[in-house]
Amino acid sequence: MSNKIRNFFLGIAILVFAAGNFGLTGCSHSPAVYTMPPERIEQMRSEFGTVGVAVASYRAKPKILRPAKGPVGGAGRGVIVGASTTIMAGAVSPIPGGTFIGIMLAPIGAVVGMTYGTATATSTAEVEKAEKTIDQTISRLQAMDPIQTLQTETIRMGSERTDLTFVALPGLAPQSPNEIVRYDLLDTTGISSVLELRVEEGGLRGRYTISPPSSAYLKIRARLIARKDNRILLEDTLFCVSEKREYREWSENDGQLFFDALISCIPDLAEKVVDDFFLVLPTNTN
Amino acid sequence: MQCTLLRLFKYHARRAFLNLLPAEICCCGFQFLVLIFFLAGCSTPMAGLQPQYPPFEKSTFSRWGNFVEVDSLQPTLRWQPFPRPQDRAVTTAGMLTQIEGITYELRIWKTKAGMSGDEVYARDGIKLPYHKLEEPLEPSTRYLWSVRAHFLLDGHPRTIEWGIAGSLVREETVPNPSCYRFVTF
Repeated sequence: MSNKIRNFFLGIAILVFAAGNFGLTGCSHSPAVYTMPPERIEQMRSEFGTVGVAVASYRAKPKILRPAKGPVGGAGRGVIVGASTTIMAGAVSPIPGGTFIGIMLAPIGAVVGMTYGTATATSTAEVEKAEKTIDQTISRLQAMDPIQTLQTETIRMGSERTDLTFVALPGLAPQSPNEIVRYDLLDTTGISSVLELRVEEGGLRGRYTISPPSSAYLKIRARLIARKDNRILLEDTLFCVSEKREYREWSENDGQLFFDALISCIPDLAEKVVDDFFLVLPTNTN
Repeated sequence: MQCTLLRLFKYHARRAFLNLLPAEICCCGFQFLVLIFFLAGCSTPMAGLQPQYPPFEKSTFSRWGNFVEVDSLQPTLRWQPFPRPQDRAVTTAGMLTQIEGITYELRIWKTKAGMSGDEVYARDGIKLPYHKLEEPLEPSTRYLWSVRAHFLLDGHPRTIEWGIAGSLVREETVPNPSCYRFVTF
């Protein structure tokens, strides 16, 4: 019995410590190109030739961090935020037994969080009105065919900034998130490598609190594939993230700020892909 | 009955606490080291060309830099010239001799909290590692900025990554929180 309890607390302690330290040291990663030996990537680039750009045609599911709805929603979210904050505070404090103390005080944190959440949550009507606007903005964005724009922008930037030839590969990209296209089996004569782009996620993200400020973001997966043998030469997940705003602000003026933030991400991401895959010479991190 | 349950709870809580203590002390030791290392700025990583003016100033309690006040609304921004000694270390001697036509690209974004921003100034083709802004910035405003070198490597256009510091956010487009920071007076 005591072993089970000990293991339970020990498991929680290790998890919370790991999360605390991970949070402190940051969770960003370096795209592969920044850590490759310069000679290796230049050798690889010498074989790129004509680049076919294929953008996955499926729509990424929007991920929207919403505020708690009304006093009831605020209370529920307040319980979670209050309890987890207390545990985290105990865990990150450099006091032996801090995690244990944090866990023991979590019910008090939950009650405080619930009270705070009930008092400060945005009204249900206001959140639902903003939700409706955000949903309409997403529909407006999807109607503009951002996938096609990403392909066009990538080809334009690649052609302008590099000495390679970029061409569109219409209809050859993945149709669903799990589909893997065998470009070596397709009729892509004259293409040496394929730049495959997938828009994986987009929406509003931030910390899970009662009325969280959030950033508009787009996440894409980029892979450069050798056409002759379907070998992945380079691959990375890249992001475009905006300044943080309140949920209410994102929905103002028919969601124009949200719309503009996501639209401006498309050329930024196209530039990032072209820079990282075709132009950046890796140098030392100091 | 209640008393027995309470005694049982106290017993197990004490056992759990005592058994947990060595692991916690060990974790706390590690965490304390991480904290000290992090707060002291022993490992402020930087990538790309480092800023010379305004300099990068490590913030004590943040993963990002401070907003350093500049002396003018049209400051002269300065940075390391490319190639730097460390570039010579990572590239073969032959590779560096193939580099020619070095220019710099500078971008400045207006920001509120420093997480991202709107572009207000961009120049490329800068020949020397400094640039006096040709238009005045807004007073009492926070800005993010970054710079990178463009060049030809064996005749092919190449660049280095944008200059960033602090917790390096390399998977995001610029501007991002790792960009250099300044504030006008």
